[in-house]
Amino acid sequence: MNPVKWFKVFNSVQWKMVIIYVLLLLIAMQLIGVYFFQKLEDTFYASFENDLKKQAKTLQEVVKYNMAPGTESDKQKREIDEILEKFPLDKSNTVQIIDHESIVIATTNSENSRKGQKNIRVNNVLQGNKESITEVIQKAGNRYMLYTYPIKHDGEIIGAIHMEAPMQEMYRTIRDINKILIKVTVASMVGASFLMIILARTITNPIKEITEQATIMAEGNFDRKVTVKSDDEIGKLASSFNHLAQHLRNALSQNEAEKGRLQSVLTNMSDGVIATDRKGRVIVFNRRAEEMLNKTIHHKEDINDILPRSHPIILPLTEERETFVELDLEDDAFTIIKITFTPVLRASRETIGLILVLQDVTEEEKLDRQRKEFVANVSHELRTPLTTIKSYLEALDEGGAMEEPELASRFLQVTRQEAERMTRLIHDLLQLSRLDAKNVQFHKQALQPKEILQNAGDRFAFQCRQKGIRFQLSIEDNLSRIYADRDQIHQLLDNLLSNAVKYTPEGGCVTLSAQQKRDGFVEVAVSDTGIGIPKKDLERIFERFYRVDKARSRLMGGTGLGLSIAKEIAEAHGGSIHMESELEKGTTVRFTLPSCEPEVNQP
Amino acid sequence: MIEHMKSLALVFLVTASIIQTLLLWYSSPSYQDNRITAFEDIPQIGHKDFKKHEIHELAAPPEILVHSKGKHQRILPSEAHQTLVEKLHHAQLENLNEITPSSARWERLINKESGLEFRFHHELPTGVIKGFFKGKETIPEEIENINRIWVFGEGDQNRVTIWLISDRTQTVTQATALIQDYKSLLNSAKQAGSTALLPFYKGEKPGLKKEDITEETIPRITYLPKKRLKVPHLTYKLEQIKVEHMKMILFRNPNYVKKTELSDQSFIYTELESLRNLRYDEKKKNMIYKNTGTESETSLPHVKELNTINAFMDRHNGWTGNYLLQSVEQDKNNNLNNYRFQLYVEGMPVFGPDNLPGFDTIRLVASQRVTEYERSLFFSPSRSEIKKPDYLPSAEEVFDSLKKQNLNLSDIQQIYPGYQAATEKKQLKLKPVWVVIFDNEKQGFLEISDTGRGTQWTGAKPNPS
Repeated sequence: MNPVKWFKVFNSVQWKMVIIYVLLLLIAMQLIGVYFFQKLEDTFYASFENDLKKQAKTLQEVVKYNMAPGTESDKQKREIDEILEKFPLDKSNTVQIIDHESIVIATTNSENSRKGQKNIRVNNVLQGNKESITEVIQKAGNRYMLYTYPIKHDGEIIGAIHMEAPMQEMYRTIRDINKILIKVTVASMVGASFLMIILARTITNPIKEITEQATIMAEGNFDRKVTVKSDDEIGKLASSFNHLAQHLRNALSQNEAEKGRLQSVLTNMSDGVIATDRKGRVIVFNRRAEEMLNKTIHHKEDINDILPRSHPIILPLTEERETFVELDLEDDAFTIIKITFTPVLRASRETIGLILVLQDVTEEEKLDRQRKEFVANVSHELRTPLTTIKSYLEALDEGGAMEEPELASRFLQVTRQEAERMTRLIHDLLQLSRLDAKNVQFHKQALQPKEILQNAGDRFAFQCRQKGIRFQLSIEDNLSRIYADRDQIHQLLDNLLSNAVKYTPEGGCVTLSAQQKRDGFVEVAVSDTGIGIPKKDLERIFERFYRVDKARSRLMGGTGLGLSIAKEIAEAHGGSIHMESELEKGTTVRFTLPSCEPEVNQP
Repeated sequence: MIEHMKSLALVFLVTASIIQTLLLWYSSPSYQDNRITAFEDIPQIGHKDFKKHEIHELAAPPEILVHSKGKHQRILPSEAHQTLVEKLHHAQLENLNEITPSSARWERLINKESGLEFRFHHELPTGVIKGFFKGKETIPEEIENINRIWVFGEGDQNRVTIWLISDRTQTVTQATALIQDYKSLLNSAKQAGSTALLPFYKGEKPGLKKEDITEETIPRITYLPKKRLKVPHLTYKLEQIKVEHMKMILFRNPNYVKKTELSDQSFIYTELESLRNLRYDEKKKNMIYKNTGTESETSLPHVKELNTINAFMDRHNGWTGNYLLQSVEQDKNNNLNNYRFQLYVEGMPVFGPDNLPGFDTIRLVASQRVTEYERSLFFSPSRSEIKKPDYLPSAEEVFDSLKKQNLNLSDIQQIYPGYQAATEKKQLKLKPVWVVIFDNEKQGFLEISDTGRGTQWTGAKPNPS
C-alpha cells in the first residue's frame, strides 16, 4: 500500500479516535509511570537509606567504646575489625570505621587497602555540620549509596561509620516492577486499542453507512434506508437521516411533479421560454420557443447563436429589456416575435442567469395594421363621396350647372347617389360596430330556410335578368328549420348575392343553393361564374374594406364591408362562412347556420 | 479555524507522546559526580621501626642503672633496655605505701644489693607512671612526680620490691610486685650493661658511705666511667618532610586548605571548616599545628592523652626516630598538658642543633584530640651514614672540668650521656657529650675537646648560677 493510501486509511475518524485514545493512554500511563516510579524509587531509596542508617546506628553503638578518646591502639583496631567481621552486616556492603581525623581505621575485608587512608567524604559529619550524609555515586557502571553516620561518645563526635552499599538489587527490583508495569501497560494498550477499534467502529460504521447512503442519495436513489441499531445519538442520527431521506424523497417527488407541471406549462405555453446561465448558455427551453424561432435549440448553446439578431446580447444584463424580431417565413409570410429579457438576480444583485420570453405578436401586429388600415379605409371611403358631393355642390353653387337643368339634375343625382353610398357605408359601419360590440339585438326564431332563400332569390331575380345573368335557386327539400334573425339572414344573403351579381358578367350564372349538413347545420352557398378572386386574396377577403380591386369595387358601389358583415352575422348565429374562388371562373361563398332542432344524421 | 486547532492539537499530542517516551527511555536516576577523590593516602614520613605500640614504650625511662652489690652499670635504650622496660611494665604494683628509708637502707641498697634503677631524665607526673605499669593499683595522689623507679629484692618467687622515688618531694613509695624470672632478668641486665661505672655522691671520690647520707634525704648518685667511654661520633644525612605532606596528614580535607603568607618565609595553612591551622617557618623548617576546634573542658588522664598522641603519630609514622617522653608541662591556663618527646639516637638523647630549633624534640598537646603538634621538618634517617670513633670524658675529666668551673656535684642534678647535634653541609653530626643538668634545670654539655686532650663545655654556661 502506498503512502497516500496509508494516509487515507489513517485519516479516517475511526483511526484518528484510536490513535488519539492510544496516545492519551500512553501519555497517561507514562505520567502515571513517572510518578509511580518516582515514588517507588523514593520509597526504596528511603528504605535503603533507613536500612543503612539502622545498621550504622547499631554498629556505632558497638564500636564507640572501642574508639573512646585516648584509647586508640592497634588492639582496638583489631577489635573493631573483629566487630565488623562478626557484626550481622549485609556482606555486599562495604563498611568503614573512620576516626575523628577522617582516617579509615577499620573496614570490611573487601576494602583493606583503604585502611590508613583519609576519607574526605565524611568530613561534614565529623565536623558536626551534618547529622548524616547520604550520597549516590556511580562506580563501575553501578550505583552505590554512600551513607555516613557519626560515632559519638559522650555526645562528642569521635569518628564516623561510612557505608557503601550497592544499589543494583534495589534498581533491579524497580526494573522488574517497571517491566511488569510496561507489560501491563502494553497489554492494556493493546486491549484498549482493540476495544477502541470496536468502539470507534460502532460509532463510525453507522456514519460510514450514512455516508454511503448519502452518496447513493446523491446519485438519486432515495429508496434505501440506514439501519437503526440503537437509540443513542448514532441511532438518532440514523433515524434523522432516514427521516431526512424520506423528506427528501417527498420533496423530490413534489419537485419532480412541480418540474413536470412546470415542464408541461413550459411545453404548452403559447409563449416561448428560454433560460440561460449567466454566460448565456441555454439551460431550459420549451418547444414553443423552437417553433417560434423555427430552429432546434440545444442545451448549452449560446443564446446569441439562437436569436436572429444582428447585434449580440451583451451579458450580463441587469435590467429587463424588450426587443422585437421579425422572422421571414415562406410564402411571403412573416412572424413578429417579442422577446423579453429578464435577468435572474441574486439578493446581491448578481446576475446568475437570463430568462427570455418569446411572444408571437404577429396577430397583434396584423390587427394593429388592420385597425390602421380600417381607419384609413373608413376615412378614405367617407372622404371620397364627400369630396364628390362637395365638388358637385360647388359646381352647382357656381351656377354653371344650374343653367343646364339636365346637368344640374345629373349633378344632383350623383350627389344623391354619393350621399346614399355614404349612408350605406355609415349604415354598414354601424352594423359592424354593433356586431363587434355584440349590441345587435337578434330576434332569433325558427325559420324555414327555403322561404328565406326563395325571398332572396325573388329579390335578385330581377337584377339578374337586367344584367343578363342567369339565376338558379337550388334548395333541398328536407332542410331543417334554422334558428335565426330573419332580417339579419336577409342582409347576409343580400350582401352575398349582390356581390355575386355585381362581379358576374353578363351571361354568367348566379346560383343560390342550400343543403342539410350531416352535423345538423344548414349550409347555404352562393356561387357565381364571375371574375373570381386570386387565391392570395381569399384569406383576407373577409377583412373590412379589403378589396381585390378597390377601384372596380368602389365603382360598383360597394362599401368593402359586405363580406365582413356577412361573416359577422354568420358567426353571430353560430355558423361559419368561407369562400372558394378561382380566378376568372367564379366564386362560391358558403355559410352555415345551425338548425333550430339539430339532428345529427348518422352515416 | 477550529479544525486547524484540532489538527495542531493532534500533532502536539503525537509529538508530546514521542518526546515523552524518548525522555523516559533515556532518563536515569540522578547521582553525585564521583570524580572527586574521596580517599587520600596519608604520607608516611618516618620509619615504622620507630613506632610505639604501647604507651610504656613511649614513656619508658631512658636510662637504666643495674646495681649489683656495689657494681653499677648503665643500660641505654636498646634491646636489653626494652626487655627490662617490658618486664617492669608487666609488674603489677601491690601494697603501695610511702616509706622513709634510712641512710643505712640506702647505703645497703646501693652498695650491697642488686637491683634495677630506672631513671627518668626529667620528672614525670604520676599519671604517666601509672601508664607505665600495666596494673591498676593506684599510686597515692600525694606523689605528683616520679624521677626514678628502683626495683630490688631477692626475687624469691619473683616477688620484688619497687620504690617510686620523687626527688622533688623527697618521697619514696614502696610497692611490691611480681616480675617473672626476675633473677635471670637481672643477670641479663648485668650482661647487657655497660662497663662498670663509679658512683659519685658528694665528691670526686667514688663510692657511698652510710655517714655521707643525710637522714631522710634521698641520695642522688652520679654514675661516671672511670675511663673514657667509647661512644661513636655519628653523621646522618638530613631529610626533610614536605609541608604538603603535613597538610595531607593534618587536615581533614587538604583540598580546601588556604595558604597565607604571614611574614618572610612564614606561612599559615588554614582549614576553616575544622578550625585547624598549620604555621610553617620555611627558614627554620619547623611547624606548629593547632586544632582549635576540639578544645575540651575536661582533660583526660595522662595515659589517655599519651595514647591519643601515640595514635596520632602512628597514623603518619610521625616518630621519625626513637622518641621518648622527656617531660610533661601543664599549661594551667588551658588545663592542657604539653608533652615533649626527646629524640634518642643509639640510646642517647640528642640535643640541638641550635640552628634547627625543635629538631631534637617533638611537642604535642592533647586532650580529647591532639591540639598542638610542633616539630622540625628535618629528620635523620634511621641508619648512620658515617660512624666515627669518639669518647665521652672519663669521671676524672668530668670532675676536672667541674673543678675548673668551681662546681661540685651538689650543684648538679644529673649527668648522663647524650649527643649534641650540629649541621654541616646538610648533614647532621652527633657528637657524644655528657649532659649535665644543673639544679636550676639548665644544661651543659661536656665533651672531649677537638684535640682529644681534655674536655670542653658547650651549651649552658658551666656556672649557671
